[in-house]
Amino acid sequence: MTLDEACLLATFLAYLVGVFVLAALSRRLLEGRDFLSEYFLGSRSLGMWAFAFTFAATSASGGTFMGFPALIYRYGWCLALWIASYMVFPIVAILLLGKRLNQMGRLLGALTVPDVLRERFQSPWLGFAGGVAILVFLSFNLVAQFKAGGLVVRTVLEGLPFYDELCMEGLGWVASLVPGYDPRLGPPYWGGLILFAFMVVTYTTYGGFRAAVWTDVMQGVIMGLGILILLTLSLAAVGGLSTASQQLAAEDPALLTPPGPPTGRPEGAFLALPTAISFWVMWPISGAGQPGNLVRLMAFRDVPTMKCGVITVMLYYNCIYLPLVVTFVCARAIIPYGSIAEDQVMPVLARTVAPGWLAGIILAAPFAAVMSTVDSFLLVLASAIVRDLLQQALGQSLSPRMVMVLSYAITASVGTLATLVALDPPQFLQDIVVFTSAGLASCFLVPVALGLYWPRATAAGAWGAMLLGAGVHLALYLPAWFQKYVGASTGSIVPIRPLGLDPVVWGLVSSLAAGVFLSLVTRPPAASFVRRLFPD
Amino acid sequence: MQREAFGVLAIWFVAGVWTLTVSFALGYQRDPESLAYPFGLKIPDWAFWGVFVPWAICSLLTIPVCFRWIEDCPLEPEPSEGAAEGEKAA
Repeated sequence: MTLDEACLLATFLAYLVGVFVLAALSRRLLEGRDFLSEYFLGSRSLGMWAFAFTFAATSASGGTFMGFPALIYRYGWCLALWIASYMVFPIVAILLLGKRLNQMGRLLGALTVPDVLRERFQSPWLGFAGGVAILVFLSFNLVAQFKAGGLVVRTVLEGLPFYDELCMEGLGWVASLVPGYDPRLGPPYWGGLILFAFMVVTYTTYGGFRAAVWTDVMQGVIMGLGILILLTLSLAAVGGLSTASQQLAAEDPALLTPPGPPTGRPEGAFLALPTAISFWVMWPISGAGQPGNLVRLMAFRDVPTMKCGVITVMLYYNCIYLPLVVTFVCARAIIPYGSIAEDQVMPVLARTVAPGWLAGIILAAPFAAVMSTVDSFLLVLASAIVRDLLQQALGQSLSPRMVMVLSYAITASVGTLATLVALDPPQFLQDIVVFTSAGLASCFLVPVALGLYWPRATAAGAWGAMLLGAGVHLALYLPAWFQKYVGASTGSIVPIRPLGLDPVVWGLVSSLAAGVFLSLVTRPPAASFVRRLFPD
Repeated sequence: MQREAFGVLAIWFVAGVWTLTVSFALGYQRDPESLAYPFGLKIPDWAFWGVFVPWAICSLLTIPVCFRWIEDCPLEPEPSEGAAEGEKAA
């Protein structure tokens, strides 16, 4: 092992030790508090730093540090427009629903998003349906995130002698579990996946929501540091942004302007104007409707905490997204295009421009990003099963101790199951991530928003908004999934896009129309109930 | 609070109109040879005026939005009348 490799490994191990120390500390807070409220919601007591970083880190997934850099490396400057809506993401995703959702959650005693729907609309089946929707959509997404986690660990550790030996000699037995596996996802990937899964499932199960939040803070700091270091080193290596832009112009002038170079897909260039409009809707508006984000909005302590959190998240995104664009525009001038797989550009750039110990910090960033997303998903899924499905189905027959045991067991089981599926994951997982995130937003955003702000909103309206939003979204994807299923298409999933707009736009519009129309034509909620929820 | 929610949507809409309009006008169908790089920052002009400038404005705008416009209010529910009377009696 070279000195650089040893430094890289040491930095990485130090990061992992930090994660487990934080999990152990948060575990101590579980004792003596209401178990469910602490385990799934941190007792609604998050302070500014914890709230801001857990929100920012949960939103930034493996895609932010692996997929997004790969797109910039391939398509150039037009990715600045693709990601531009993050300039309003903190304002929209936090301020649109945050204060009212937190207030309503306390008033209704809700711990989960389906809890809010059930209590606000006085409909147990609506909460049940919400729990099922989370279970279905997030399960697929979780497998994708586990795969990303396994790939990141493999990228960081592959080539280190001990890791290669361990994977090749110790994981041969996995091949018998997944006959016919993709040869690109063999033992080195399984080693990464098992290591990743062991760490994230252990600390999340052990420490619950607070462990996820505290590790998110550390992971958020590492992500920010990693990107700023990489930006500085890349600019120095290429000789300034001017040289990088000149290089791009010499290679392909389309790299400098939107819509970017052609993709080879039917839609032509990468970022046609309707696609840019769709992404302006998709990131902030659908971000506001993700259960992983919504549950964090129910957990901050007070309104000043929320306000400071918005400013902190905004500053944090300033340090992440536009620096990523500049960094990977430079990467195209440092690493010749075509010489590496595009999704490897982040680790390859880190190892090219940074010494070993610094590369360790930079490479911990994508790992931290995936971990912070997975811990959130695990808890949202576990809470959907325990709180929204089992507790509602079994009612008071569950003792507090049984609830505690179930929470631990289900969090660990969900993680283990996702690991087993991710040993041989489907090929088109990135498409599944987009499909499930947009599906969750189409399903939840409108019913939650109407329930929070509109006293006239009724259970029928909420049912209509949820079903039509999800239905339109699914219908626009159905032909593409069918073609994929019967083998007529081997490329990525391309849904129907009326007027060039993404299904999420149509899903949200139909959801809103159905929610408003059905609320207006059905009997309004009882006046006494409305007065309790809307005293003003 | 409805007023605040509509205000948030208005910010999202106005920022979107600016970003998409300016990026379209300066970036799409543009001859890359004619690109300018304002203020020596080496960022293409469409990205500078269409993305970086509105991003900076939104960042600055966040401060007055949070501290002047979004109102503080208690998040804990008010005790119900019955509960309050019970506490008084106790």
